[in-house]
Amino acid sequence: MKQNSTQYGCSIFTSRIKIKQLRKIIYLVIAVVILILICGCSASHTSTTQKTPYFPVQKEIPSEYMLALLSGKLVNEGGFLRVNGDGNSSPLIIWPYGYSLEVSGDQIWVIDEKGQRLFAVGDTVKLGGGFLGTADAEARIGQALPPDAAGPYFIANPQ
Amino acid sequence: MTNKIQWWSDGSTFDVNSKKPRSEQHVGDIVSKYGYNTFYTAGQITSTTHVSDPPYNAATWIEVANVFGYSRIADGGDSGGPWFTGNGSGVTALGITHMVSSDRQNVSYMAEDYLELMSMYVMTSP
Repeated sequence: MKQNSTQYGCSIFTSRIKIKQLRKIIYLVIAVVILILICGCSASHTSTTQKTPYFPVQKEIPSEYMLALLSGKLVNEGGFLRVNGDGNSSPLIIWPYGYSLEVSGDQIWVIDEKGQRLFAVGDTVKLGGGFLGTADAEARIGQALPPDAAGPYFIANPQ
Repeated sequence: MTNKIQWWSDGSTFDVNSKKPRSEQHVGDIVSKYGYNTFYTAGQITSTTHVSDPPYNAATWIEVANVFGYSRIADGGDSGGPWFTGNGSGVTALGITHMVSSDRQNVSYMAEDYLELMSMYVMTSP
């Protein structure tokens, strides 16, 4: 009986060690999974920042369009689409309602409200529209601009 | 000193020999403009108290309708272009281009006397 009890005790002891080892393995697996997820998200975020610039779009079609003309090269400066024209400033473009962005390989295309490619980053563009201050630009897109999205802001008209 | 207005894409100009404040411009008047993008177009005044979208929502803009069938009465690049009446014998300055409706069929301009509020003056023949 005593021997049985000892054997029974040993068996319980062995089971506890196995359970502890099993827990360690489970914790290790969970830690690895979390690490993979974190790395994956981080890599994905970096990729998004590099490939897909910030693309502010007007929340509706305004009743009227401003009539200035902005000409220059469309560039992706630090994740913001700007036009480098003749002047010293490189305005951040607030795109017309319905416009979107398409990343295709190494090219970033601006797509109009009909789904057609208008121009790519690097193209020389001519945009009708006008300049507005921060508050009015934010009113046009219906949300706050990112803190690092420095002006001036050019409100673009559809082509 | 006399200001000149370019009125055609070949560079032709008219002398400005008079100017008309907003109070003397009326609904129904036929008026003309020149612009960098759409060049010469003309239309009919439909309002002298037009209100634009903020931040330009003062009821002082003059609105002109496209009654002569242009595909676009104004477009990007036309901002600041001259509005006038008259012809080669000398024209009357009316204002400068402001905005266009989203269908490009109605355009608005600032009357020339509002430029004077910003210390800018249209110079006419003596």
